[in-house]
Amino acid sequence: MIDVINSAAQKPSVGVAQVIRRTSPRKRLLGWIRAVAIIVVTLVMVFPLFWMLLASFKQNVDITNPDVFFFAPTVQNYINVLFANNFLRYGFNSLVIAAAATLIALIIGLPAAYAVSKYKMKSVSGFILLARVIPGISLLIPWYYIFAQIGLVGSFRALIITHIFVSLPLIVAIMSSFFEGMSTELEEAGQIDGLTVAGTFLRITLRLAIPGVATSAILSFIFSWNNFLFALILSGKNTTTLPAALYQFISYLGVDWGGLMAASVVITVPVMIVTIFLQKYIVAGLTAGATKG
Amino acid sequence: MKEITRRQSLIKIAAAATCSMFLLAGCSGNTDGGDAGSIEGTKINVNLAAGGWTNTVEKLLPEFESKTGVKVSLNVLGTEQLDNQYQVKLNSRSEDLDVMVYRPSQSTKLFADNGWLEDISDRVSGDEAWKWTDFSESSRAATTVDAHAFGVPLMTERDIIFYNKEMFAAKGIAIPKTMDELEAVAKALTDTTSGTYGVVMRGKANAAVTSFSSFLYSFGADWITKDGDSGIGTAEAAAAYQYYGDLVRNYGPPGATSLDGTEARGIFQQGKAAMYIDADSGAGLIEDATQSSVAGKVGYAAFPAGPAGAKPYDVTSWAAGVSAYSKNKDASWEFIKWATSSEVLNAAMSDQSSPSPRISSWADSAVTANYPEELVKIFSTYSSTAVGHDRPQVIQVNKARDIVGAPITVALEGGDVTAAAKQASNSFTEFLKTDK
Amino acid sequence: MALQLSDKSISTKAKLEGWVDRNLKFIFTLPALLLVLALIIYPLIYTIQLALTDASRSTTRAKNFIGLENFVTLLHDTERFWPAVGRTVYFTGAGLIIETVCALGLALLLRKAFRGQGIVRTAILLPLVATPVAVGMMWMLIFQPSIGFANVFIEWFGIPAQGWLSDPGQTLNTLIFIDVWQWTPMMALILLAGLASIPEEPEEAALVDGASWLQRHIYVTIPMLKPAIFAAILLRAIDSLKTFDILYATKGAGGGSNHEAETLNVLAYSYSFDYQDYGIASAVLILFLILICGAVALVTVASKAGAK
Repeated sequence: MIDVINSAAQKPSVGVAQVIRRTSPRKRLLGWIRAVAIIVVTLVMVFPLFWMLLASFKQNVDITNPDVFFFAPTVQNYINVLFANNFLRYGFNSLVIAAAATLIALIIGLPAAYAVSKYKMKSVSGFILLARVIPGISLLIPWYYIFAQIGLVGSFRALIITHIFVSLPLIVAIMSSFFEGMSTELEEAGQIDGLTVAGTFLRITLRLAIPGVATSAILSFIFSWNNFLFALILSGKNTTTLPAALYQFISYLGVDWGGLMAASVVITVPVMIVTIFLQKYIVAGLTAGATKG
Repeated sequence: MKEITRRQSLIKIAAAATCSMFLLAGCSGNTDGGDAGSIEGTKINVNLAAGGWTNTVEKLLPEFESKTGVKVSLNVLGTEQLDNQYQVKLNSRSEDLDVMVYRPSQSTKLFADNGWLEDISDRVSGDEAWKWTDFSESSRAATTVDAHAFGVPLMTERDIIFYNKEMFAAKGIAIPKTMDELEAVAKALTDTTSGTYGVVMRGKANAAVTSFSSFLYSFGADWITKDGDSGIGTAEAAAAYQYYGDLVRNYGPPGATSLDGTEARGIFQQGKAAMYIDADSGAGLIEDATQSSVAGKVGYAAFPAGPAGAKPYDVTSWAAGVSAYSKNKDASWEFIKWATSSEVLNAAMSDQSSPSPRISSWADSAVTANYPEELVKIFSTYSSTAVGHDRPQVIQVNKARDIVGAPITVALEGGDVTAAAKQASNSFTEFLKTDK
Repeated sequence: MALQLSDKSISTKAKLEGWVDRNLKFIFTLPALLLVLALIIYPLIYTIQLALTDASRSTTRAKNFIGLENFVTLLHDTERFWPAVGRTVYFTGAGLIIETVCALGLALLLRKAFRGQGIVRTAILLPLVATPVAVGMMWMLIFQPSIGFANVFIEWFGIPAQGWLSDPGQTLNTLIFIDVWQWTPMMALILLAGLASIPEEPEEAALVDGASWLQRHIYVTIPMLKPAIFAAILLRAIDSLKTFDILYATKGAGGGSNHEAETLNVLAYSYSFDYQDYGIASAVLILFLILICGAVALVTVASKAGAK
C-alpha cells in the first residue's frame, strides 16, 4: 500500500502549464476548469479554519459584529489562553496521554494485527472492532465506577488506558491490512535461517513495516489528542486535556468567543503541524484498510 | 454470564461497604466539631462553573489557603459539563469530590433526594459571625428541603428589562410598566427593514422556561398549584403562553426557537434589539465594552405588571454544598464558609457584577458603588413581590422543563397554544405523579 | 528448524521457543483481546442490567426489575424514539451518499499528478485532523444567523439570510453539511489510494474503443473502485451513526426546541444526563448498538455482493 502511494508520488509530476502547452484547446479549457475546481475545493476546506484563526485575534465585541474583516487585532485571547488558563499545562497533559496511549497501543496492537493477518483471525479483529462500535456514552458511568474503585480517577493511568481503547482498534485495523499486503519472502528466508516465528516478526517483519507503524502511530496520536468525552469525565485537576479544557470558555453567563477560538487554534495547531510534516504517512495510513478488496 | 454478574454484585457490595465505612468515619469526624486546627494539610477538590464568582474565588484563594493550610484544587467547568461530572461521580459514589457548586433551582431536590449532598443545617446555624440569616430568606429557602439546609447560596438573579437608552430616546418612548405597554413599545421599536427588533428573549424551549416563568406568574398562574397539581392547564397559563409567543414572534428576531440566554443577550449587545428581558446577572457582560457595543447605553427597568400584577422571579442561581461522599467535610465546610463570607461575596459583586445573596451587600455603598444604581433599586422593590423559583420545583427538573416548555415553542411558531398547553398539562400531571 | 537441530537434550530455551511458536496466535492476540474485554464487559453487562430496570434519578438507589418494559415503551414511542431513529438514519444516509459522491469527484479531480499536489492534499486533510469539539464551536459561530459569516457570505450573492442551525427545518441539513465538510477529505483520500492501485489497462482499452469520459468512468473505473468505496463507507458509517461532539456542541442536549437534531446518541445522552432516567437511556443504547451492528453487517454483506 505504502509503495503504491510512494510510487504515485514519485511519478514525474506534470505541471498544469505543461499539460496545457501540448494539448488541444478543448483539453486546455478542461485543464483550466480542473485547476479552478481544485483551488475552490481547497478554499472551501481551509476557509472555516482561517475564520477560526481570524476570530481568535478579535475582541468579543468584534466577533459579534458581522462586519468582519476590519478590526483592531489583539493577542489578548492568546495571553489568556496560554497563561491565565494554563493551556500549556493542558497541552503537556494531552501530549503525555496521547504519546503513552499510542506507544502502549502499538505494543499490544502490532502483534495482534500480525496474528490477525497471518492466521486470518477474522473473529478477533471483529471483537476488537467492537471497541469502535460501542457508543461512548454507555461506557462513562461504568468506567468511572471501576476507576473509582481502584483509585485511578483523575490519574494519568486512567486516561491512558481509556485512550488505548480508542487507539487499539485503529492500529489493529490499519496494521493487519498492512501486514497482509507485505511480501512474505523475507520472512520465509528468516525462518529458514533458524529464526522462530516470533523472532521473525520482531527482527524482520516489524523492521519492514516501519512506514505502516509510523502511519498508525500518528493517526492514533491524533485521535487520542482529539478525544473529548473520556477526558471530560475521567480527568482531574492535574490531568485535564485540551479538548476538555475548551469548555472553560463557556461560562454560565455567556461564551467567551475570542478565548474559545484562540483555544481551538492552540489545540488544532500541533496536530496540523504534525499533519503538514507527515502528510504522506497519514494518507497512507488512512487508506491502508481500504484498498485490498 | 451469571458468574460474572454475581462477582460484580460482590464488587458492588464490597464497594458499598467501603463507602459506608468512609461515611461513618466522616460522620464521627463531624461530631468532634469543626476544629480548624485539624483540617490543616488536607486537600479538597472543588468543582465549580466558569464565570463571575468563580473568578473572584480563584483570585482570592491564596488567602484562604495560607490562613487554613487547606490545599484547594479548583476544577472549573461549563455548566452542563459540571452537571455531567456530578452525575457520573456521584452515581459511582466517588470520594474525589468535596465541594460542589451547583444550581439550586435545578438540582437541590434531586441531589438531596439521592443523598448526594450533606445536610449542613447544624453548620450553617452554628457560626454567628458568618451569619446565615444575612442571606435573603428566599435564597435560604432555595437550598433547603424540608427544613434541612443542603447548600449555601452564592449568587442570586432577578428578571428585569434591559433597554437600549438611545433607541428609547430617539423615539421619545417611556419605559413600559404593564404587559400592554410592553407590547406597544416593542411594536413601536421594531424596524425589520433595518434589522432592529423591539424585544429579544429566550426562545429555545428548555432555556425559555425561566424567562417565561415571570410572565406565567404575572398572568396569575404557576407551574404547580398549591394542591400539587399541574398549573399550566388554566386559562391564565394559556394567555401567558400566547402573550409570550406573540411578543417574541412579532417583535423579536427570527429563529427565536433556538435562542438561549447567551444568544439572546448577544443580539441585544450588538444594538439590534431595544429590550432584552432576562436575569440581571447579565449586566456585567452587557456593560463590558470588550464584549458589548451597547456598553454605557443600557438602562434597567423592573418587570412590567400583568393581569395579576408584577411577579418576576427572584432566584438563587448558584450555591455551594458538601458532597455526601466527601472524606474532608470539615475542610470543605471551612472553604464554603470562606467563599460565601461577606468579604468574598462583596468582592464578587463589585468586581464581577455577581449579585450577592447577602442582604448586607446591597446596603453597603462600597459594594454597590461599582454596580448599576437602578439594579440596586430594583432589588429592593422586588423583595416583596417576586417569586422565588423560575422553573418547576420538582426532582427531575429538566424532564419537567421539556414538558412545560413545549407550549412555548408552539406559541413562538404561531400554533394552537390552548391545545398545546392542555396537552402539556396532561403530560405534566402524569409526570408529577412519578416525581415523588 | 531449531527443534530438529538440537540434541536429545533439548534446551529449555528451545522448548520455550517451540511452545511460543505453536501458541503464537494466542500469545499475540491475548493482550489486545483482554484489554478490550476488560474495558467492555462490565459496561455492557451494566447497561443491559440497567435497561431491564426502572432506574431513575440515581443508579445506586433502589430500582425495580421491569423486564422488557423499557424496550416496549421505546418501540411504541413515536414522539422521541422513532423520530430519533429516522434522524440517525437520515443524517448518516444522506451524509454518506453526499460524502461518497463528493469524495469520488474530489478523488478523480486530484487523481492525475499536478504541481502543488502536496499542498492541496495537506490542505484538504486539515478538516479531518481538526479537533471535533473545536470544529463544532467554530461552525456554530459561522452559522449564527445574526452574527455569523454564513449569512454575510450568501448575501453577497443576493440570497436572503437563512436560519441555519436555528431553523428547525434546516438544522439537520446544516449539520450534514458540516459532516460532509469534515469527512469528505478522508473518503477522498481512501478513494485516491484505491485509484492508484487499480490497473490502467482496462481504462486505456476503453479509451481506444472511443468511450467518452463519462462512459469510461461509469463502466470501467468506478466498478473497479468498488472495494475501496465499500471500505470507505463502512469506516465512515460507524463513526457517522455515533456522531456526538458536533451535535452536542451546536444544539445541546435534546437537540433543540423541536428535538430537530436529536439522533439516537443524543437521545441516549438526554435521557441519561438530562432526565436522569438511566433505565430507559440504557435501553436506547442497546437498541442503538443493535442498529450500528446491523448497519455494519449490511455494509459488509453489500460489499461482498458488490465484489462478486
